[in-house]
Amino acid sequence: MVRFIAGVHLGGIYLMAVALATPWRWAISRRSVLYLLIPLSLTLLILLPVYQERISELALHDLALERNQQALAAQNQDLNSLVDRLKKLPPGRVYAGQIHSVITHWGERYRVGDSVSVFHLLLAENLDMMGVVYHRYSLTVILR
Amino acid sequence: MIFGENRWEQYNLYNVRYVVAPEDRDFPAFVQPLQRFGRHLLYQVETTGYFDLVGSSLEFTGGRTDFFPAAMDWLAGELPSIKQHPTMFLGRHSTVDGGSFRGRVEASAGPSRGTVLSEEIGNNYFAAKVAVERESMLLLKATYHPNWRATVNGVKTDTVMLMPSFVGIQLSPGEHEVRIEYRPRGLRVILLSLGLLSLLLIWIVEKRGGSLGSWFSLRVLNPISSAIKRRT
Repeated sequence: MVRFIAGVHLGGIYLMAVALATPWRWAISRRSVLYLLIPLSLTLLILLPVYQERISELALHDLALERNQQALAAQNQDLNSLVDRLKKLPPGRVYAGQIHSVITHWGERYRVGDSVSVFHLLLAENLDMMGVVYHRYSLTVILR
Repeated sequence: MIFGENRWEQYNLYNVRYVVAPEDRDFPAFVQPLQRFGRHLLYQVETTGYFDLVGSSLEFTGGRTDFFPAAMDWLAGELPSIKQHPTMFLGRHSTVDGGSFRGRVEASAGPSRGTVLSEEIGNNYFAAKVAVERESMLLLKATYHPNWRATVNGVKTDTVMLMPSFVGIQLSPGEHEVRIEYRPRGLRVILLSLGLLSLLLIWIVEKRGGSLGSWFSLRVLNPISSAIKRRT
């Protein structure tokens, strides 16, 4: 059931906000403005590591995105010609290796740049791909 | 499920007609190179297309969770290569023995079953013209769902689930025009209407929220609270 965990996370974020609101309510109810420094410090203390973690993670994403965009631009013409050719051929499924959670396969390493798999690029072109798709809700699927 | 890329019958089973791979990959001889696009190589494989004529002398009965191991065993065995696709009857609950096969096991593919003369693929349908030489199942290599509606020569026909969860239609000898179309059930229209009705209600409540609130408290809440007070 991992795919339905988002609700739990959203609930957790809501509860955290409720908890953090408690010292703010307390400080606002005091007469002196100086009391606001306590919840402010507490909020900064709690949120600063979160902010730092997000900043470093997003910087990594930025770097990865830039490298992938460069690789995609370099191979753009070849990939467009490949997709055009596939769309003009008689209908059939396309196999570009397997992206599997239990086995290591060449399809996993068959990428443009660091993280864009050729399988997903072709899937995004609406080609009938042989492999695992994002959503699997057939009658025979086992929900985990 | 792991695709056996060295077995032609698996390419045919899933209608894998094209392979895109990096230049350093080696494939069996039946995977023929077609064209190079920079570091990407395009290959072609001969298949029967999205349809095939197969036999189904076996039946598999089990629960939904029994399906996966049974399909794995079937795929690993020789039955796919002789085009024997058991008809599947899946219940809601798994069985103690993990499901069971019944029927006659064929040793070979036997004489020709016929030919798929042409096929057509649309957004929500597959159509084919087939010449059948002996009683066979027409296999559509797409995931089975009860919402697939089939016609043979314009006459509505039942579909079955064939291993590994594909759509099957029983065909008698002769030439047939088959059309298999995916049509969602009426429930979707009801849900869509309910959704639109909810949007309309939200708009009404937003527009007349105040007057609706006072009507609700006057006509519904007040009589209820008065009734409770009278009782106590």
